Amino acid sequence: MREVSFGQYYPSNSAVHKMDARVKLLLTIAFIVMVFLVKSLYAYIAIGVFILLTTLVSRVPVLKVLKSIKAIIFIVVIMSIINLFANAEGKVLCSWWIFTITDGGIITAVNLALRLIFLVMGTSLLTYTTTPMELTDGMESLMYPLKLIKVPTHDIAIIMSIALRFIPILMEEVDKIMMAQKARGACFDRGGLLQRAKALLPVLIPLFVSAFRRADELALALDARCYNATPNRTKYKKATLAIRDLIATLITGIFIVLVVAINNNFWGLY
Amino acid sequence: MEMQTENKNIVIEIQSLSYDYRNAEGEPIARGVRNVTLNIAKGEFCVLLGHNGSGKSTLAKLLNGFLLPDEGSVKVNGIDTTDEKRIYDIRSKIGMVFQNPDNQMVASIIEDDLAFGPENLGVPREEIETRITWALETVNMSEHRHRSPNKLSGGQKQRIAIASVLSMLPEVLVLDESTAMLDPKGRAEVMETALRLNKEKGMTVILITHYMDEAIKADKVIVLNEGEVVLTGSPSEVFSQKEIIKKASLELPVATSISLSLREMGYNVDFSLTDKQLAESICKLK
Amino acid sequence: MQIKVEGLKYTYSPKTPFEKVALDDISFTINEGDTIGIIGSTGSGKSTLCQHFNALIRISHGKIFVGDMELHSKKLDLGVLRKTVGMLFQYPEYQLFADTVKDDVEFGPLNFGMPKEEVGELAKYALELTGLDFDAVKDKSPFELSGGQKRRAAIAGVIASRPEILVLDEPTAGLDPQGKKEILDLVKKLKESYVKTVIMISHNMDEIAEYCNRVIVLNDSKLIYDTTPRELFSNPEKLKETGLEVPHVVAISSMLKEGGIDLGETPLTKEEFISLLTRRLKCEK
Repeated sequence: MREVSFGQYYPSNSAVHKMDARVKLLLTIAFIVMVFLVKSLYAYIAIGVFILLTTLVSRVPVLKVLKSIKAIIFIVVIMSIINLFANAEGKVLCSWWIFTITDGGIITAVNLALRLIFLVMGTSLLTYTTTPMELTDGMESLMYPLKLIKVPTHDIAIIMSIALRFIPILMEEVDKIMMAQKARGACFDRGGLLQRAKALLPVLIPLFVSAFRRADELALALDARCYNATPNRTKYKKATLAIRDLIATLITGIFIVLVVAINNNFWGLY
Repeated sequence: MEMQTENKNIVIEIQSLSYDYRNAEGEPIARGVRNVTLNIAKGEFCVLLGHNGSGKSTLAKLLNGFLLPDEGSVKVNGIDTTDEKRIYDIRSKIGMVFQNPDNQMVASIIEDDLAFGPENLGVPREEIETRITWALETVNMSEHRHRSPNKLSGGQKQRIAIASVLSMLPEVLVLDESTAMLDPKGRAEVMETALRLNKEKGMTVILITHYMDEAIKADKVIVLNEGEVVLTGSPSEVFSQKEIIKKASLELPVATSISLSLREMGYNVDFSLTDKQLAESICKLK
Repeated sequence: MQIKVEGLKYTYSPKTPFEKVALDDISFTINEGDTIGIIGSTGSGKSTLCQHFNALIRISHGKIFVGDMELHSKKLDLGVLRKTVGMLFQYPEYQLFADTVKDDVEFGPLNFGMPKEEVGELAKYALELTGLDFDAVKDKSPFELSGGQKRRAAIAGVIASRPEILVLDEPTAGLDPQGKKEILDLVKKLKESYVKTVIMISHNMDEIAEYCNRVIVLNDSKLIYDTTPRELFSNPEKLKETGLEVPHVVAISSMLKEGGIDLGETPLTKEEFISLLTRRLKCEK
């Protein structure tokens, strides 16, 4: 019933969708590194514009990408608040009891919040435009060097694909079990932290039992479909690099240079 | 018996098969199946009927070597399921669909799920492409090829699960309680698909169920109780054994039950399996 | 205790591209003593409607009264409501969680603040009512029970707090014929104890015909029939338009009617069918 937006593929025929998953993965990683390196507000604005443009090109509704933030908004708020008070550098703006807010604190908090938000928006844009299968195949392919030292990259890829598929199913299951226990008078939003954690047991235990049951059945289904039958497994979807991947890499590369330049105030904007 | 082994029409041959569930020490803790002897011929639509815990799913798991016999043997196309080297020959020939449609899909895009089996078998890419197209057409789900299975109805998901094993080109389709969790519409969809595969493509189907309405459509019904085969035969042969059916904790189809009661009361109605048969037969009384 | 639903509307994910109307202007009344069947194809809004009865879904438009409780009111005491309206979900055995069956059954009553001394008795009574042997199962882990026993234990967990109204969402799903019959007989037995009203979602028309005195049909989020099973099934053609089936005996009798044998009344069970038919055939002679 609930829309689980994190990690859901949004089908479309856009240029971003058609890109090679490996390229998208690498670009996303580059994007994340960049987000964590920049500090200036102008650079953030540039990143925001970049995400917006990419979203428009990908034809994923902007609202959907924004919705992905909802899942982490709680963490963002908590982390920001901690940072707000933990950082005591700079000019004191107001002070009450043991709490002091400084402009340094505000800047750190905003920085952190924006980083997390961009991080989630960037990765969910990746998962919206790439099917989990492409994604895991892409990862498998990028992990190729590990295969040489006998790391079972293929099994890892399958595990990731299955995990992605079961996230929405298990989320729905949590909803159902919570409702059922609420109907038996359970209360999840009362009492202290310990009490709340304890109240979650009637949800977590059935959830684990169910996850194990599903895993059992899934293992049978994998075997029934000859998983690991031959080492010469074929691949239905073969990824090939195209011109568009090159162009996308160039654009992203230029953009990263641009942001770094803005961040270091290359043009003396501020 | 020798004759039957040579008969090319037999796909699955089960000889005095017994299996018990055991604990870690190897002591039997629950009965699986006991002394089952059974042949399933090519192109047959076969229903395994029994109450929950009667051993029908155990029997299914013995068919493709998930479980191995304590006694007796199971042969698929003449290959013994204990032959480790050829286990994947057996599994690719027996397409198995399970109860919960959500717990048997590995991919988040339908065509990727269909590709999984043939990929594992090392089928070339172009061939996989053809098989996917064919399998989706067969279950009437072609337009969903690039979509996610999450938003489908239960019946549609099960049809995809069927297509996902069809892409391995199996000879036998085993539906292990695949209709149990569906609503009547979904059940009808799966039933229609299985019957069509059987009638049009000559697919051998083994349907495991406890719905009598599904059993009456079979060529052969096998009734299990406490791990033993208590009845085998055509639906009319099986459902005329009122007492044995009752003892196996099953019910007669409604029309059958009414027709038998009327006959006991002295009315000359035909033994009926379907509502239509019964109605027509009653109309003749007039 | 009466349940009164007035102009109930519900929309999932309102004001987003995923907006989906689940209930559209539903009004009806359930009287004390009713065993009411709620039918409709999957996605017609049955579960959404039932989750409103004990405020698992809060009302966004319209009103629901359960006795003198107003479910649309902000001051609603959820504890009292949920103790009054018990709700059994689909495949309830998947909600079992406690170390022992007894603890699991006592979970509800304890949550509702019933006195500790009484709770043990309530659990015992509930478990025995469902046909389980209290002494044999009380200290067992619920996960050790067989499939049928698990479902009974889960039902005991819902009825232990003595709800006056019991909502059942497909209580027989996944069971074999005998299991189905046992659960339905249990529901009948419950109605002879403290449960006064039963609301049952089902896809099985034979069950509805045999066990319910009233039936509500939802189609495309709208309530299209509020009547008795006999009334509803006396017009099988109309029902089929909504994608629903009719009970076997109804199908047979309507085919008989076409063949010139009018039973006069719509049968709901095999026994009724046989007695109507034999009476009719005797007249003929």
